[in-house]
Amino acid sequence: MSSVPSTATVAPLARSSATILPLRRTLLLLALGLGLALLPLLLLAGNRFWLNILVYTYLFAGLSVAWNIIAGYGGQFSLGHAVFFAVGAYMTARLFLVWDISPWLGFIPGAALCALIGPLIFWPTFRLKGSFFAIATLAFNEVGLVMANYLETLTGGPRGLQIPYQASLGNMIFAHPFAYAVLMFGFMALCLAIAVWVRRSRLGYYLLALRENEDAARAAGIDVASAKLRATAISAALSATGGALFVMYVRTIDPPTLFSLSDVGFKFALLALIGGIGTISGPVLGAFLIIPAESWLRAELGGGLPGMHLAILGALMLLAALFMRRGLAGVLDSAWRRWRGRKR
Amino acid sequence: MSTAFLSVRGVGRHFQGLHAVEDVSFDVGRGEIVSIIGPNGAGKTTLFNLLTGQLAPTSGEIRFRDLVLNRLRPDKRAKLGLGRTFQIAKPLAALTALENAMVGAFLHHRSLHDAEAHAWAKLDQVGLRARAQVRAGELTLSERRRLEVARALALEPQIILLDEVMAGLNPSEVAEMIGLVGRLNEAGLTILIIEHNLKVVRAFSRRVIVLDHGAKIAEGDAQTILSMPQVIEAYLGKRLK
Amino acid sequence: MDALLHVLVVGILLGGIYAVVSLGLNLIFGVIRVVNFAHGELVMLGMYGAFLAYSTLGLDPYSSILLVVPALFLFGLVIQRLVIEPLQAESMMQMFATFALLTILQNVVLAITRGEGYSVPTRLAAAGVQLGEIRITATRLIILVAVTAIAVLLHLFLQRTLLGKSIRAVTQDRQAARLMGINVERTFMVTFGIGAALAGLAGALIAPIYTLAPGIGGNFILAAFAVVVLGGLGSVAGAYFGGIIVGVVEAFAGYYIDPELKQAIWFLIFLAVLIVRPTGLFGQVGAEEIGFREQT
Repeated sequence: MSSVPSTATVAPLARSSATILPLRRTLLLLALGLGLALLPLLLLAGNRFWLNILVYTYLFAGLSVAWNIIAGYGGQFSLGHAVFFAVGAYMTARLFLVWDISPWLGFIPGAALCALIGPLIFWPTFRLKGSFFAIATLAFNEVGLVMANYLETLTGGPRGLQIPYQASLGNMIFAHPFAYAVLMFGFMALCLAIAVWVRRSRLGYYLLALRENEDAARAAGIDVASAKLRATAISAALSATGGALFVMYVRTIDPPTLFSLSDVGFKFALLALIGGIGTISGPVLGAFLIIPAESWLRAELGGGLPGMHLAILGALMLLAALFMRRGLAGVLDSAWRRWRGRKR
Repeated sequence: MSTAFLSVRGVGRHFQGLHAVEDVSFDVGRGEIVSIIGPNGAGKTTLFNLLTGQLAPTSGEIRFRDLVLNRLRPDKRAKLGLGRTFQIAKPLAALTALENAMVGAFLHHRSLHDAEAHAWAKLDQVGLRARAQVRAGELTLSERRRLEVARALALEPQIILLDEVMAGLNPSEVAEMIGLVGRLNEAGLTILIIEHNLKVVRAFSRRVIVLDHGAKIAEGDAQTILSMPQVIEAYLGKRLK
Repeated sequence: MDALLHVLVVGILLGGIYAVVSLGLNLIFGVIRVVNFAHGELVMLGMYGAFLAYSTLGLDPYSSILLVVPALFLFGLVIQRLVIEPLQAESMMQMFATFALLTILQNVVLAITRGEGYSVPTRLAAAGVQLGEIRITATRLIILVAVTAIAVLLHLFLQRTLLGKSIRAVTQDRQAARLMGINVERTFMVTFGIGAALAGLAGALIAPIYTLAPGIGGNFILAAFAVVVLGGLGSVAGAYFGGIIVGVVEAFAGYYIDPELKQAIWFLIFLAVLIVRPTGLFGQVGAEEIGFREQT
């Protein structure tokens, strides 16, 4: 233990985890991953059934990446992100329907609003830990659902909002799902780029630190509340953007759809957990596994016994929880290391 | 007001009637190394928590570089130059040793590149370079203790509070740690250290503060203090029986 | 005045239902620290169990308790052993696993019943008590009486019996309990078993009131979480009175403010409690920290 690097001890073969990659290599990996994700789009360009699935896959991959910023890096397991998703959707639809504002601009106020109200509504709950935080944010989801039903003048109440079909680029309404798939791919790429940027920034390290131990984080000079709030703002704004794109794709929304726990609020968490929570690629991997599997099962089994496809999906989720605790990313990571180990 | 670097005046903290720390006063000068000793439950760690802001004092005043710290959050105190380690090492388990040090280094170095370079230097200082890429959760106890010190040093503190950094180490590791602490002090760092091992206390402390039942019962140079009867009774009583 | 009394009675009876559903959830959450999303589905299984006992054996739902409760106790043991225990160190994965369980149970029942709604008749369906202008049906009154009895018995069980004491010891400090020779894993299994059995009991008790549907658990689970947090983690009195409070608040908000907002209001109360006093109204101060504290 001297102040000069000791040469006497030989570094043990690094059983290391993610080293800090040089920026260039991170960007290369990101580009490679996006290229891979783009492949099915090019292969399936003509198939409406699979394109539709791909639209949802890209969208939910992006949304789960956004959720992962505060929940995965920061360890704040939110089940209330559907609120931001819904605010983005309602805001965009409303601006489009009432003032004819193009969704290309119309998503911005919703995202900005969520960047503002996200920290505001999460702020009082941030001193809750673990499952208490999860339950409190779950309550936000329920309050959101009730309010969406109640505020009829804004949300159309239980009947919801319908956007008439007027296909044009400016309206962000397209005749062919291919255009939507490209759009959602762009959203996913944006979310990933921001996640990578956060992860490599001081904020990213602060989030990891406070997730691991808040006392140690504070002692290391981290303003824990501020880090959580900034991450929430980023995460909420991206979720609202996803909601905006969602509404322009489905063109009809109502409260039960937007606040569905299993299809929205918990889904972000589910995809990230299956893919590997707290990793950059995890939520994307989870989305690429679960969304197509879900749609395929529904198509294959939907005509048979009701609920059968969801029962099977549930069983797969349970197996994933029990046997892939670090998610797909964890499995790939260990496989990669074993392979490299053998090469040496 | 005194010109002491760190000045503690009549500081107390009670938990629902229980006085964990009561009316403690002392000064620490710039560049000094001061030991705090006392039996288990004497309030040493509570005192540290008061100094670094994990707890707020219920009475008294803590001044650092003539600023009153009483109500300041821990992170603000870290920014002012107070670094600390925890008695129960709190490594950020999922992060590598290097990343642990980087978390501290970010306080004064915004960019990833600078923070990393700075973190490497601190790992060198505590002899953890070879273990930089290992997750903190997989480090040995001795390595974790050194990592705590590295993370605190990465804050570039003006004073560092070391809470039993020798506990659980074997004699050669203790000797290494004593060497490290000595070097840090020689380089000008002010050090406040909680220690159980009297050999360690003798090794570098010119000044020793004794706590018992939350109160300061003695203060002075190591030789005198360690031969005072009330100190022996409070601190070593159990062992002599 | 009559309206006020009426709303109060309706609220208390509704609260009885929330309380009976919450008792088991609170035990599981309080002791094992698992957010059991599938708890509503355990209640649902209890309801379908009562229906099965009726349709095959011709049993009255109140007699079916003798079969439903042991069955769910065993099911609870199995869940704890096979799903919760292997994930003990990872609370997020546990939460996720119980959500998967919810999906499985709900949809398996849906597939078996093909979505047909059943109801379970009881001989007491027509019986009731007249309280001035207000008529209280026997089926709801039984729930209130039963939940009171269950709460008292559960309290005595936790305070007086050796098993109950070990459950409380494990709740307070797992490490210390382990050092004192308590088998923590077995205690957890029994706790989950009792929690599931209470859910089954709740299901059988409410079966005569509701039309059975696979998704019916969703009607209770969020209310039950609210009750648990409102009343206090691991507190029997908290689940009991918390349930009644939520029921009464819901009834009053529904009557005097707006029926559509009634749920939002108790959720806001719940959020307020969670933030101002996370230990809940009856919880021990600091109880919410147990299990999140560092285990050294």
